[in-house]
Amino acid sequence: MTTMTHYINWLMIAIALVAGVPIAREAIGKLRLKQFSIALLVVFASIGAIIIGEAWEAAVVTVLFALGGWLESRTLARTRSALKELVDMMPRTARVRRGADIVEVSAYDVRQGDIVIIRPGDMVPVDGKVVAGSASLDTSSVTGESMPTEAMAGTAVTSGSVTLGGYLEVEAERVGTDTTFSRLIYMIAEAGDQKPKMQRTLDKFAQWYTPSVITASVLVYAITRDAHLALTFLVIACPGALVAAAPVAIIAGLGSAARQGVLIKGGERLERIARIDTVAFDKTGTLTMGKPQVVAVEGFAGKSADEVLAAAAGAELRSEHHLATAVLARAQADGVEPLPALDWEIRAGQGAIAHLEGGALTAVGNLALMRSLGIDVPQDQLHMVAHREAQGETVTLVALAGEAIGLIGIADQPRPEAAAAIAALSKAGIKNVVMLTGDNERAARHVAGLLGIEPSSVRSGLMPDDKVATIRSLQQSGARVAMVGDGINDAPALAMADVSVSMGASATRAAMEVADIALMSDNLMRIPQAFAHSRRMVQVIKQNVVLAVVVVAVLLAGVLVGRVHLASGMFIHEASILLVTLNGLRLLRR
Amino acid sequence: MSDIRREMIMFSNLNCPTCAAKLETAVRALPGVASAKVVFGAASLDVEYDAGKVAYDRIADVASRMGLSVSARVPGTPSGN
Repeated sequence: MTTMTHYINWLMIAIALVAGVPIAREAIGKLRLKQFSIALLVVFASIGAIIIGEAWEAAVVTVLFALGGWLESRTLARTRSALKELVDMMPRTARVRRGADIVEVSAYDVRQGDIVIIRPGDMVPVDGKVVAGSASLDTSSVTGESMPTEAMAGTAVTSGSVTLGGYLEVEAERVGTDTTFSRLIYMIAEAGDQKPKMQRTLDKFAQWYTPSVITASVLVYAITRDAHLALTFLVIACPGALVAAAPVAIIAGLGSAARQGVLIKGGERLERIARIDTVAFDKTGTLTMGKPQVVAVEGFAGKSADEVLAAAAGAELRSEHHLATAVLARAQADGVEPLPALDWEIRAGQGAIAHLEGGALTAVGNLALMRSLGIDVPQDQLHMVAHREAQGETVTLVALAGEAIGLIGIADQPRPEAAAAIAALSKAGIKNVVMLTGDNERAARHVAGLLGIEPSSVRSGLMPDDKVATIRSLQQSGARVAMVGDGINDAPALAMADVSVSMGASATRAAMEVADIALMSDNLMRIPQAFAHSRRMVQVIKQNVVLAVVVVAVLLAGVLVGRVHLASGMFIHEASILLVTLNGLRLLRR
Repeated sequence: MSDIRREMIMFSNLNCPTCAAKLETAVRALPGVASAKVVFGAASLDVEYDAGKVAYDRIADVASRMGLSVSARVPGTPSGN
């Protein structure tokens, strides 16, 4: 039996050594920077525990402490890989016109005024103005708007936009390190650095707890000349329950949240999450589906919706334009056959035209297209267009055989549960819900109205740095702000916010990885749930911390007055660890 | 004439906060370095230096002697501009 205990003792020492060496390294490193850490106390107490034959205690404390550190480093790695991904996306080279030639140069060697050639699929390497050509641009990495925009001569383009098709010649205005995309990367790095500065509560606590415990046990030895008593004091003072207080509750809490598709990353962020009183939402792709859909088909002069859709689908059949995709999807859903056409023509920035089998012409597009085809759009029809546009829709006209026959309204619809989620947030104690968007004011207000967001809480037409400024000004007025977003363009605002939340399937990886809370599904109802759950976790951790501190205080007093001895002290000590563990496991239940 | 440059140097293995603090101090001590700040959350060093007085290689050398390897360099706009 004694040999058995002996082996177990050596095993415990081995475990304590494996888990303890990195802790010792951390403690020494921090000591060099004149910081006392819990790590230092863990090291001293573990050595003390081994000396007085309580290697078990050393093993438990070191393993729990290492577990906490591991959780933290995993979170850090995620944030970093997001930034690296953005950097890897940056265009390295640019094709510029130098004299009669087109040469490929480093993206940093493009000069102001250079004409940069952009081919389909290229990322725009500079901020500038289009001087020739036309193309659809996916600007989602910068503006977050999922609807591609049309670029033609005179349009301003931003670095980081990607051409979906077409060809552009852009006169460079801001180049190299001064481009929007390059500044975006610096902004994310800088904003991300503001978080680790908030020292963890435990570390602050350690600043006075660790030195006072060490001093106290030295004093105990100096006064009593009883090394065993001094070591007992040191070991009992080691905040075993305190070390376990957070990690167990965090793992249990994060685990149960994860089962519901809510990834709450990193324990140290919990307190911030629990204190949030303002939630800012990005509109497109977060509150809305992020995908344009046909929301209205209206026929002019007695024409039916199906006739309008059939003509439009016929014209759009060969187009890869995002509005065409929406029209074709609606035609298919409604079982409408596109009018059979023979050949197609895409007019960039205007729409699409097709020649039908009977020789007639069908066209889908904006007013400019209708005018260029000599099709008259009377005043009352223009009113119908204006009416739909006032609802925040993009409206295209449909013409058949030289006559306008109807219109199609396309919009990015709010998610079905969005209004309920916003109502639930205020029940969960969130005082203010704000909507931020790069979209225009009309569309923004319309969506806000549908969702029950105050018009005064809508900020529209924002670029990434405007979003950051909005978050900052909310914070300066005393609000603790959580930001919910999905795009790379939201990344700086997400990093600036006290807490960042990224939305599920539609989130870009960059947004997901910098986020404090990542939703795996697109269900907005998970957001109020995540806040409520975090508050419960913080409550449990606080209970645990109080329990641990009280137990340690009572035990130490007992040791000093000679009422508590090592065996009974250790028993209560371990019991308190068990208690905080069980309390933490309560979070596994929903 | 001074040639002030700003760069964000990203490392693939900047994992301990202590090494980060050491790197910051060592790079700041180089003549010609105007400012150096480790952004630990981004595993990178945000440095401004006078390219006429100190070469990028000197800075990279300080880092590599500490066992750090550079994974990317992102030039930036000097803060004075």
